[in-house]
Order: sequence, then structure tokens, then C-alpha cells
Amino acid sequence: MSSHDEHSETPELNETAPQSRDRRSETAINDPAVPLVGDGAVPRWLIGVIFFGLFWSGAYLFSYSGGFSADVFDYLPKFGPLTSGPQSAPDPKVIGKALFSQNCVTCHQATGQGLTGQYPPLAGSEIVLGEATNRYIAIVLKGLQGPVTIKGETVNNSMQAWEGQYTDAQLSAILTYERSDWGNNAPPIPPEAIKQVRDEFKDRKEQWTYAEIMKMPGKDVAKAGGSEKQASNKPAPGASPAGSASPAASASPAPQQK
Amino acid sequence: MSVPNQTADLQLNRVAAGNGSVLRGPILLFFASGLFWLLIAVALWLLSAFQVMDPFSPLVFPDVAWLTYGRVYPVAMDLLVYGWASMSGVGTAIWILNSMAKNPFTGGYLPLLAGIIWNLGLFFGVWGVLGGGSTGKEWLEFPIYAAFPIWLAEIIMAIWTVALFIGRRGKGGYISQAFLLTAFIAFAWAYGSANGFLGFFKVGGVAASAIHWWYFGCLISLWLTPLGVGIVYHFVPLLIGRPLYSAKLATISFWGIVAFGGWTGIAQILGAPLPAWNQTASVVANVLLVVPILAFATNLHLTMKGSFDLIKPNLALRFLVTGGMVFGLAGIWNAITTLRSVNRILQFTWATTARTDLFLIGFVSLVCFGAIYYVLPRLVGRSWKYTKLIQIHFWFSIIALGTLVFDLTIAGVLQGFGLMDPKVPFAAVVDLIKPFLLGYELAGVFIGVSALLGVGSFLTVFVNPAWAPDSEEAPEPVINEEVSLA
Amino acid sequence: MNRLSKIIGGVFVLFGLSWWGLAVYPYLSFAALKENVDPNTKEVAPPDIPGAAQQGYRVYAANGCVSCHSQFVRDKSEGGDIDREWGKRRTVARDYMKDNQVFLGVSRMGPDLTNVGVRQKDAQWFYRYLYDPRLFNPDTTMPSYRWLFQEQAITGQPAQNALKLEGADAPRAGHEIVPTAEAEALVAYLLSLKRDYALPEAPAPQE
Repeated sequence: MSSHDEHSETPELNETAPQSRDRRSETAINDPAVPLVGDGAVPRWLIGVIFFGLFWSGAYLFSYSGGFSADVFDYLPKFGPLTSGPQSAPDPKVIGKALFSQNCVTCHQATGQGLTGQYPPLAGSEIVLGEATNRYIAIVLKGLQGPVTIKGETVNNSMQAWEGQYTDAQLSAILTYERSDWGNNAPPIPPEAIKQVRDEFKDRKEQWTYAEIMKMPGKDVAKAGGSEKQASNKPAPGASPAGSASPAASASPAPQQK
Repeated sequence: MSVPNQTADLQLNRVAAGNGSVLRGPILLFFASGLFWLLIAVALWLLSAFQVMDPFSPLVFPDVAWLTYGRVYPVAMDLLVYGWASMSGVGTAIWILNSMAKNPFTGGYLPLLAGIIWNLGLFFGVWGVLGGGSTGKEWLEFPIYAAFPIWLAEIIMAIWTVALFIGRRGKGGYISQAFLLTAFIAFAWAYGSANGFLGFFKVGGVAASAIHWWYFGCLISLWLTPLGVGIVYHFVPLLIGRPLYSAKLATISFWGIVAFGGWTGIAQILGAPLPAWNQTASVVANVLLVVPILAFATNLHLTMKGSFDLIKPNLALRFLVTGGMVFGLAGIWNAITTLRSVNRILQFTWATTARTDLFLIGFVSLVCFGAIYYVLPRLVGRSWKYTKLIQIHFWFSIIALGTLVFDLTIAGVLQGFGLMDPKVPFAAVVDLIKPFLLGYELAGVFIGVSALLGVGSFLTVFVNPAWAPDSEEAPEPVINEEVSLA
Repeated sequence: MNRLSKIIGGVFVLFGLSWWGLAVYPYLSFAALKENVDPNTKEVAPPDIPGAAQQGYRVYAANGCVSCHSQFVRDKSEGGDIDREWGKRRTVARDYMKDNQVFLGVSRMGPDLTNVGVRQKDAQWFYRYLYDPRLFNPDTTMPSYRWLFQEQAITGQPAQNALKLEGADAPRAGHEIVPTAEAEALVAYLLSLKRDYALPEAPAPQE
């Protein structure tokens, strides 16, 4: 049929007499042919597949690793409401931390210090810890654009709106967490407060500027009933010394609470 | 790993022939044992298929413990893997390794010893499992008194393999050697480790399941895979008389399989109470395994490019290339079905059975038959008498494979969606797949017939008159009539 | 030699990694598991396995029950097991810490048995099911396990655990069908399959 066949189908069995007592030929049943190997190039698409595969695997492995812990069995972290028999409901700070490490951490860093000159810190921030929680919530809901002065340092950048990404409960968890870590120590922000601010600005589409935020009458929506009292960026009651850094120039000279 | 491009000369190296070799006995023993156990395995498999189709048919013996489905089916699967696929694969590996070593050292008594012990182990295993001694762990059902001889035989083979490799003449080498070496070492390690932990130290708790399914990954990906891939890599270039396309691709396929193979098993039991990262790592390994598998399939394809017309007349090549291509498909299908979004539907269904069967029946069995069809005439110095038989065998194998895999996969998808929906009662899910069990039965019959055809072909070689070495007119041991007619 | 050491070294390292990660690591991690004691009720979870059930493992293994029945409940995110009420929560490693043998299984030709002892608490039910599954489901694919039972002549009072059978399955007059020791062990094991206690690491998802 073709010349290939003559090679491949010729096992050369008659080369050695079957009765031969010669040790060499007796012990070797060597296939007459030893396959050869060429030097073909690896196809480009396969190289692409390799790199994509490695990238994907790394991302997949680290996303669903359960923290490489021996006692985590679920590959997805659990945020939803859970009942755990005798256990109490999960701490919103724990949920908040998990959510924080999904997105917020990219700019504000796991240390809450932001990046000098680029992203403002959350630790000790007068917005985060201030009594005017409506401003804090409004920024997170709608995003922020342009120069911002936090703890005396001005940065000029942009934060996206998060209102479409998270529910009231999730935002409440994130904000409560932000107010409790890195030396911050301010009261939690309940989901109702988020809802209140969300409803208040529900028609607004664009990001805030810091000036707009500062013109907004500050009020502590986190307090039950969302008191109409004027609030300032002064640290909320109970804020730790670390959080009482420098009260920035505040638009509303509201009296200190308590 | 460098695979030297020794010489472009395709002139066949006229070394020595098979007549009178001390390794002829061991290889024949392994081949014959493999085919023997294949027949037993297929018979039991067929029985189990009839039993699961209708548990009250005359083929179910409610008063006979050793013929119950839960004993028959595991024995069939174990024999298929440890009997048929492993033994015929080892026989071929002996041939390949020896032909590559080109040295007088053969230690022929070692493979012979291993073959005898291996058969003893299988015999004890069948006896033990049917008699009620099963460990109840899939693919590891053999009780310790059967697993130990098999492990011993593997150790002997591993030692023989390494010794042969060390003692080889010259520095030359070929990728098939690397695959076969790996297979022997990894299998001896994995089988010994799994049986040691589970059977000897009697590890309890869910850690036992981790070891158990780690072992399954090794069995598939580091024993049967390198065995089959090594065989295809070795024989295909020989059969078409052209070099393997690329050493680089071969290297990628080798190290990829070694790196990811051991991690693949846990994906069989996703959602099990095992650390999340173990499970995720296993999913990732199954997906990444596509890279070496694609490298292998591409290499095979580019080697064959321009020679595909040889598939028609050359039956050994036909089996080997089809097996290799099925392996590529099986690898991709395996990666898709391991992904969590797909797995949550298909897990626990017949579709996962089909996935394993595609690998065992499609890849390993076809390759092993191809290898036997290549090696046997050269080994015994007789040609195939009835090449039509081999042709029919090939087509029956393909039909059996197609029927089995399509039928079970569709059944599995239906079963999976049924199980996902809590409004569908469990009994309704079973009713849903009952018609497909009929197809499963049919596939079982096809598999039985193709096994018989394979064994028949094997035996017909021996009724052929021995090819007289001195005669000029002696028929060459070709396995296709088209070529000799042309 | 260089080539050989490269292959063998590579295989040992790469293969050894998987051996460590998937076999040795879970083994070492789970060896340290401790039972959970409820601070209020002092209830121990998972409960100890009764002696009779310990014998049942062997029967369950020997007859390949695992070929068709699984024994783990996946999380809601991984499948519909909880919706199907095969368990109120997923199973975790501690659920199995007292089991000498674990049969997780990869097939659900039959229903999951993780909590079969919760669903059925009557040994007689299991005996009758094993003796003739058709009594409960005419279309079942489960075979009958009649060899796990024996027929004996009634002497005096009928045996307490004699099977209540009618019609075609009924024994000859004056005889009764009783479970063998193997059947008793198997059923004791099945009755012990109850993962209905609470574990802090596996909270039940709320509807």
C-alpha cells in the first residue's frame, strides 16, 4: 500500500535462528525498530492553553481553597443567615471582614491605611468614624470623585458606587467592620441606616464630590430612628484615640454629642 | 528530559528476533492472563448488567450470596483493571522496555515470577470478594491477602524495570520508557500505600476516604494513563515508519501527567467531608490534566498527519490511534464534568460511570488490544490468520464503546436533573433511567462479543503454521490482507 | 543514569506531593478530631457507635452496598441533597470520626443512607426491605437478600424478630423466617446511621 508499511510490518523475525544458543540473541527479543523522535515545535495555541490553564487554576484554587484549612469543607464562604443549632448568629464583623477582603481591600488595603497619595485611609478616618454617618454611607453607596482630604492628606482619585453590588445587610456588615478594626472603635451601622440613606438619594446616579458631601447636613443615621440632630465629623462617642486623629475642616460646626 | 533525536535514518534496526527469547514466556503469560481475566470480567459485568436491569430476573439469585450484584459488579470492574488492562499492559511494557534496553540482561525469571504471583493475587481477590471478604471500597475491594500478592508482583516489576533501564546499552532513550518507568513506580507506591493505610493499618474515619480516592486518581492517571500513553507513543511511530512529531510535546505530556495525575482522584467525591482545598486542588488537577492530554493528542495527530490512510489497512495502528484519540476526548470530557457546576448535576449518576468506562473501554482496552496485535506476531513468529476477525473486533469494540458511553451519559444526565429536583420522588428518578439500563445491557452484550473476538484473534495466531525462518515465501506476520494483496 | 535519576526524582517529588496533600495530610489533620460536647446538655456528638452496629460494617462492605448507596450529604451549593431531605445539614469530618470504615460512595442508584436511621427506626422495616424490596417499591432495582435470612420451624412461641411476611413471601406453615446474625448486624448498622445531631462547623441552612 505504501512504503511505510514495508518497514513497519517487517518484524525481521528470521534474523536469528530460533535454535541459536547464543546468549545475546537468545535473551534479546528486541523489536527491530526503535522509534525515533522529531523536533516539532509546540503549537502556539497549546502554549496559550497552558498559560490560560495555569492562570485559571491559580485563581480557582485560591478562590475556593477555604483558606487551605483542614476544617473548612465548603468551598464557598458562607455569608447568608445561618442557624447553627446552639450557636448564636454570626458576628457581622466577621462577615464584614470577609466582604471587605473581596473588593475594598484592593484600594484601602488590609491594614485600612489606604495607599499614601492615592487612596485615603479608613483607619482613623473622620468620615468612617464621624458621627455624620449619613455622609459615610452616602459615599459608599454612590462612590466619590475628585480630591478628598482625610487626616490632613489630600488625594485625588475615584471610588465606584457600591449600591448595586451589596445589599443593605452586607453594606451594614462591611461598614460595621470598618468601624471596628485597625484601632477604629465606633458603634455599628445597622442595615436600616443604609436603607434610609439609600432611599434618600435613590434618584442620584453620579458619584459625589467631597465638597458636596461636606455640604450635606451631617446626621447620625446609625442611631435608632435616625435622629435629625446635626452631627459632625467629630469622632463618634467611644471612638478610640487612634480614630480621633485630626478633625478636618468641617462644614457644619455641630455640637459634640453626648 | 531530553529525548535524543538519534538518527533520521528510518532503516529498521535489524537486531534480534523473538524466537527463543527468555522473555517470550513472560510476555505470553501476561497477555494470556490479561485476556483470560478479560473474559471473566466481561462475563461478570454482563451478569451484573442483567441484574441491575431487573433485580427479579432469573439471573438474580437471591439465595446465593456470592452472585449478588454488590459482589459481582465490583469483581468485574477490578478484573477489568487489575486483570485485563494491567496484565496486558505489563506484557506490552516488558516488550517495549526490553526492546529499548538492547542489552543481554533480561532477568526473564522476574517477570515470569511477577506474572504468576499477580495471577495468584487476582485469583485470591475474586475468591475473596465473591466469598464475602470485600473491603467495600471501590477499586480496592480485594482483601489484603489478595492485594498483597498483587503489590508484590508490582514491586518485582518495578525493580525489574529500573534494573533493565540502568543496565541498558548506550545513552539512547525514548519517551515510552519514561512513561512506563513512571507507571511501575507510581503504581507500586500508590497500591502499596492505599492498601497499607486501609487494609493493614485500618485507618478509620473520613481520612480513609481521602486515601481511597487519592488512590483512584493514581490508578487512572499514573498507572493506566502512562501505560497506555507510553504504548501509543512507542508503537505509532514504528507502525507508520516516521518519527514522533515532537520531543517537546512528549516532554510536556510526560511531566504534566506526573505533576497533576496524583491529584485527580478526590474530584470523584466532591462535596465529601474533606478539606475544601483538597477538593478544589483536585478539580484544578483534572482541568490542568487537559494540557498534557492535549499535548499527547496533538503529538499523535501531527505524527499521523499524512499517514492517516494507514489506519485502514493496518489494524494494530487503527486500535492504537483510535485509543489515543479517545483518550484526548475522555480527558476533555473529564475536565468539563469535574467542574463544580457540572459535577453537582452528574455526581452519583451513571454519567460518572460512563466517564470511567470511556477511559477503560475506550482508551486502555483499545490500546492494549492494539499492542497485542502488534507484538504477538513478532513474539511467536506467526502471522494473523484471520484479519477479518480483527476488523470485526475493531468495529464491535467501537460500537460497544459508543453504545455504552452514550447510553449511560444520557441516562446520567436525566438521573442528575431528576436528583436535583426535590419534587421528583426518588423512585421516579429510577423509573426515568430504567429504559437506559436496557441499552446498558445491550452494550454489555457488545462488550462481551468484542472480548470474545479479541480472544479469538489471539488464539488464531497459534493455529497458523509457524513461519519458517528459512523460507523465502514465508508469509510475513502482517495483520492486514490489503497490504499483502497490494 | 542522569536521565533515570531525573525521572525517578521527578516522579518521587511530584507524586509525593499529591501523596502528602491528599492522603497523608487529611490523615494527620483528622487524627486530631475531638468529639463535640454541648455545653448545656452535655450531649456528645457524634454519639458512640453501638457494638452491634460495629459488626455491620463488614456485612455492608462485603455485599457491595456502596455500589448503589452513598453516605454523605453535600452542601447546598454542591447539590440537591438537603432539598431532598437526605439530611438537614451537610456532613463533615467529625460525623465519621468514630466509624471504623467509611463508605462515602459515588453512586446513587439507591437513595443516600447517611441518615437512614433517622428516616426509619424500625428494624422490622429493614428486615422486610432486605428480604423483598418489592414489598415497598415494585419498580425497585434493588435485589433481594434472602440469603441473609433463614427459615426455621416454629417451636413454641414465634421468634420475636421473625419477619412479618404475606402472600408469595410467606414461609411454609409452621415455619418462620428469621434474620441471620449477619442481617442483624447489618440492620443494627443501618439503624445507627443518624447524623441528626448538631455540630458547630456544619450549621443547617435556613429555608
